[in-house]
Formats: sequence, structure tokens, C-alpha cells
Amino acid sequence: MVDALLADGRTVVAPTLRDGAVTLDEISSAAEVAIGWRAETAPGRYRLVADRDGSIFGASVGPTSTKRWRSPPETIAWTGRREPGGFSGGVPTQSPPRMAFIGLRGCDLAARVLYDRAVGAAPSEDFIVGVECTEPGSTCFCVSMGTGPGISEGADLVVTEILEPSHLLVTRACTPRGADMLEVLGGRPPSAAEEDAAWSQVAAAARGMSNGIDPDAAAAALRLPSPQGWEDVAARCLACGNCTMVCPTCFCTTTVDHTTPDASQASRVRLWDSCFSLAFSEVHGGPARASTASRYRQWISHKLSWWWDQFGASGCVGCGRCIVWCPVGIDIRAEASAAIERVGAHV
Amino acid sequence: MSDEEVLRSHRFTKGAEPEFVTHLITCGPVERTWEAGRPILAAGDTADRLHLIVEGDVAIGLQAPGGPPAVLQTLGPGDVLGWSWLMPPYRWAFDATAVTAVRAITLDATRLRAAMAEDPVFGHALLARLLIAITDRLQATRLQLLDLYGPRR
Amino acid sequence: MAPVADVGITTREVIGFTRETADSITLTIEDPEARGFTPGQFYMLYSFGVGESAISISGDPARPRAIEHTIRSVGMVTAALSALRPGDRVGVRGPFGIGWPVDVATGGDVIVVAGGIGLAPLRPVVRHVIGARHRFGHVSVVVGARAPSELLFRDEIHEWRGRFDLDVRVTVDSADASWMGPIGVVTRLIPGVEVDPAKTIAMVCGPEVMMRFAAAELERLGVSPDRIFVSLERNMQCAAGVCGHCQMGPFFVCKDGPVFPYSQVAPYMGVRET
Repeated sequence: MVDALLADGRTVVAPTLRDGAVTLDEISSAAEVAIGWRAETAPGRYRLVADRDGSIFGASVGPTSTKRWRSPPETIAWTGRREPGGFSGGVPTQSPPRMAFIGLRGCDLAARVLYDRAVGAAPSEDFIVGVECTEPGSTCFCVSMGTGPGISEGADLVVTEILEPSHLLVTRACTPRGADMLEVLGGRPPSAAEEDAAWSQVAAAARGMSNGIDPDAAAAALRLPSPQGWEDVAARCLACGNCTMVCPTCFCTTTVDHTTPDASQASRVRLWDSCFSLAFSEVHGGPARASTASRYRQWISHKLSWWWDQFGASGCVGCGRCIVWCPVGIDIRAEASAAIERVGAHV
Repeated sequence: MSDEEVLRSHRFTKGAEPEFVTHLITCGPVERTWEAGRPILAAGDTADRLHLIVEGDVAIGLQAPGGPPAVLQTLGPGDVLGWSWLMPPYRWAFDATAVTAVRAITLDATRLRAAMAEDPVFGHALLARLLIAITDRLQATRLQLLDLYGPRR
Repeated sequence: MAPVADVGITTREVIGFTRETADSITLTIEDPEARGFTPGQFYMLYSFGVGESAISISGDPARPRAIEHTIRSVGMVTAALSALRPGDRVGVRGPFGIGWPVDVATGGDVIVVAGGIGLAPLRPVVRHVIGARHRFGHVSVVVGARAPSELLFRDEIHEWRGRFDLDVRVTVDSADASWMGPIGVVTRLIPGVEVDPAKTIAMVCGPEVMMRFAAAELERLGVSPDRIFVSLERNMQCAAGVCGHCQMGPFFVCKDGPVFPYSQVAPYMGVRET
């Protein structure tokens, strides 16, 4: 399939082994796909464990999400040059590559839609191969956020990897071009036992998942967050912004200005930004949110509550990346519960 | 308008119980006027009257040794001028000067204090109204101190 | 991918310059297309190689070919913009934002309360009202400044005061003996304003603390919070609601505002560090 997608002129992104993690990255051949790994995850912890079954999609999500390609961390937004009497410039013409993503989980698919909505992007024609998780990490909570592990939309092909009765990729097409791809790949229709195994393993994954967040209670509790009650998380939070970098729906950017040393040419470069940075909320007189407590409160309130006002959905898809890649292991599930409890206590 | 009517229509008595206004009137309200530039109260003098400003601007200030008089803030129609008559040593703490021609309804402090002692209900009502005026003044003064339009610090 | 914000920067000519105070100036920028604006809207002004800054439009909506911006020099970009002179070219994007409810205010009384540089985005309201004076009832303009030397549009305020159909009150936070007017915060002028609160629209702009206290005084006067409008300032960059910087609570100040009914934003203005 990788060959077919590459031959179609697409940039193919699939789970690869990089920096001690199984993470989405561009590949030039199927050989680069990471095979035979599981991920052990916990707050602030990610460890790969070799998987004797040789599963292809046994590791839960890595730190990278599709937003890296949708809106690269660094893009040139405008370039210009001085001219007699003033200056001229324009937006560089963009021809984003046609993409194919292999291995997107239910949370990833939901996140793609939300991210596009937040940045006002036109729908893409990327080819999507989704994967239904059968082995969620302890930090996953897509069930509570309604984004997985089963996949019903957002992909051309949906794969469920089963190891019993034999190691197979039970694949179904969800779009006409997905069906075309299946034809190209060949394969055979699954037996009843194989279909059953696929279905029941995904169901078991759902049952085995952690409790997660109560999205409606969190949205209500964080609608008008109190300045009190954040001291505990603020004492631990480093305001490093890792969570915002790995979160597949965080969309904030900043623009910086560059000039050549002789100031004859200028460019405006757009970079990923984080609401955890001190300068993020700068107003006349200094940052509006100076304390770590206020910045953590801003992030969680936006993600779990104000996203609803802005985009009609929660900003959280339950992927757990922020929990895994927080250096001090702050868990958004615990912080949401604590916020809900504080509000309940006042009532 | 008679002095009583002026008192009744002043912001200080707005929404008050009729008994409260009647009680104030028994303390003998008298209208006074000052030409522009004339002093109304001087710091250190005996604080002997409650002034309710009806018309004109009043500058509150202080003259420090060696310097010109400094104006801290101005009061206008509807404002209460001065409450140092409420507590010992019954002396004005600041100067008050008429910036424009000023008209005020004034009440004798000795009679007010006697009326408050004699009728605690009246005393309480008067203090409550003065407290609002004092709190407003304090908040306004604090906002001035914040120097909100000032440069970034 | 080109998100919404990547609308190119247009270059326009500076056709006017006025020094208002020691640190504030007004630039007049030509708009040959005369696209116009609503009072309360803003432009992103770009100084080549230095950066962009969100600057309110401070001119007359009835003159769409000459867009005025009053700029206070507080940082690198505003300093660079303040150095522009007629004949120079400047980059513009806009106009952006939801402006003052001048249409809703038509037929009723109007109170304008301005503190410091906050008078800049409110001047278009006053000019608009003057231009259609018969459509409004009692109109009060209340202005506060740090000191007489920092009062914006001094000559124009004198003109307003000269009219018989405008109630204009000006106060300063501090002054020397040459100032014969009121001294004190602008909120102190509000209780004396004569309007029918049920028919009044109040428009307030200035530092956030000043707007909160002004709104409290207006409520005391009887004006309900959904008839009080404030203009919020946050860190605006893209001006299109995609960079995330200008958020206050659920609102993107650049596109849901910068003008909001006080009833909508009061809960967030009252919470520390929101």
C-alpha cells in the first residue's frame, strides 16, 4: 500500500521508530514502518517494549500528530522588499504536498477535524488509513471523549490488527477511493471468526480504558474558572508548553519579523506558539496571565470548556499525549476532576 | 427654592426615609455661597459644618511649606465636602477652595452630633450615608493613585 | 496550507500627521478604495521589517478615503509607526472587529466615557453622532486624561464643548494651578450625567480597571449592563481568530470584539488574570 501511495505522488506518513518512540513521520518505503513494538505509558513516562508478536500498530500514539503537516511548526507567512517610495511583498504561493497518513487512531481522526475547524482550513484530500486500537495505553481516554477506539468516519480505510486466530489486518473501506485501494491490494474477505475477533478486541479495548474526563461536567466547571484552587498544579507545572506542542488540537501560533542586515528585505514567519509562554498574553503593561497558575487554568479551561463556545466541541480528544509528555506528569484527567469537585463543593 | 427644598433634592438625601430628611432639617440647613477663588475650609481650622455642594467646583488640596498649593482632586454638585466634624479633634485635614462660584447647603456640626447622640437611629442613618460618600471618595482616590493612563512600569 | 490569516499586507500612503501629545500621534492613511469602517474597528498596521500592531481607527466614518489612527508609542512597532510622515508608505490589513453599537444607540441617549488613549476609538462615535445629531437624544461625552498635557484632541474637544447640543465633561488625574477644570478620576463625572437610563447606550473605553469602575457607576445611574459597551484590549496578532493570542475566556477579542456588551464580558473582567 505504501508503494501505491508513493506512486500516487503522495508524501506518506506512518508510524516509525524515532528518538525512542513510535511516532508519525514521513517514510519513503514500507521498510521504515516500525514493527514489533508496544508502548508503556504513564504520566510523564513513555517506554517502548519489544513485542514478540511483531504487531504493526501495537504502540499507542506517539508525540507527533497530523497538525505538523497541516500547519508546519514554521512557515513563511509573508515576504517583502523595499522599493523606491515604499515596499512591496506578498504571501508565498503555497503548494502543500498531497499527503497520506497511515496509522491514525480514532483520537487522531477526531483531532484532524477539530484542528481544521479551529484554523479555518479547507477540507483536505489526504488519503487516510485509520487504525482501531486494541491495546490502549493507560493514559488513553478516548472513550470518555467519544472519539474511539472504534472508527466510523474520517478515514478511507480502517484497519483492525488481530493476532488471533492469526496475525491479520482486518481492513474495511469507508470511501470509494478506499475501496479502490483495497482492490489494488488484493487480500481476501475476512472470515466470521476473524471479523468477530476484530470487533471484540476493539470492544475489549474500550472496556479496559481508564475513566477519563466527564466532558459536560468539565465544560460547566471550567466555564468561569475561579482563580482559587490552582496552587497545587501550579507548583508542579513548569510552563514548558510540551502539552501544547504534542496536543493535536492546540492551534496557537505567533508571527515574528525578520529582516536582512541591510533591511532591504523582510519576512514574517509564523511559528507554533503556546499559551504557556509569558509573552503570549502580553498587553500594555505586561502579561495579562503572569502566574503559572493562570496559564495552566487558561489552557485547561480553553481545551475543555471554551472550545465548545468557539468551535462547538471539546478541544480534547482523549489521546493522552499531554499526560505522557508532561515532564512532571500532570494528568489532565485528574486536574479536570479536581476542578469539577471544587465547583461541586461550592454549590 | 428654600434651603429645605434644596436639601431634599440633593443627592445626599436621595432615597432616604422621610424621617431622616426631617431630622436633618431640624438641624437648620443654611445655604452659603463663595466667589471663585475663595477658600471654603482651611486645614487646621475647626471642622464645624457639613457641606453638601449644590453648584460649582471645589478643589481639595494642601499647602506644603515652600510650595504652591497642590490640588489633589475636585468635587462638584452632589458631593459631600468634609466629615472631620464627626470625630475629635474636629479639625479640617485639608484645604477646600472654590474653583468656580460655589453654592452649598450647610448644617451645623454641633447640632448634628447632638441629634445623632439623642437619636441613634438617625445617627446610624447619617453615618451610613456618609460612609458611602467616604468609600466612593477613597475608591476614586485609589484609582487616581493607580495612574491608569501612565506609562508601562 | 494557507489559513485564514494569510491575507496579504496592502501598502498605503500616509497623507497626514498630527502630534497629539508627547507620546501620541495621529496618522492619516489614504484608502483609495474608500472601503469605510464602523466606529470601534481597528487595522493591523505594519512597519516594514519591524512588525505589526493593532491600532484603532480614530477618524470620521463619513470620510472613508482618509483613515485616521491615533498611536501611542509604547514599544518597537508603535515607535516605528510613530516615525512615519506624509509620503511614507505603511502596510495595512483590515478593518477588523465588531465596532460600537451606533445603530442600536440611534433614537436614544448616548454616554461616551473615555479614559486616556481610550478616546481614540471613541472619537469616531462622537463624529458620527455629530454628523447625524437629530437622530440621537441627550448626548454626553465624559473624558479623563492623566494631565492636561496628555489630553488627546484638545482642540476638537473645545469644539465639542462649544456646541449647545453636547454635554462634554473633562477631568484630569492631576494638574498644576493653570488647570481650572475638574481634577479626579473620570468615573467621578458619571453621576452628574443627565440621561434616561432606560433609553441610554453607554460606550466606554480606557484601561480595563477604569472600564470596570466606570461600568459600576453607569449601573448605579440605572443603565443596565447590556446597554453598556466596552472595548477590550488584548494581544492581537492575526486579527482573524486563529493565532489564539487575544482570547479572554471564550471570546476572541479580535473577531468577537473588541467591542462587547459589558454583560457578556463582566464575569471574565472580574477574574484575576483571565
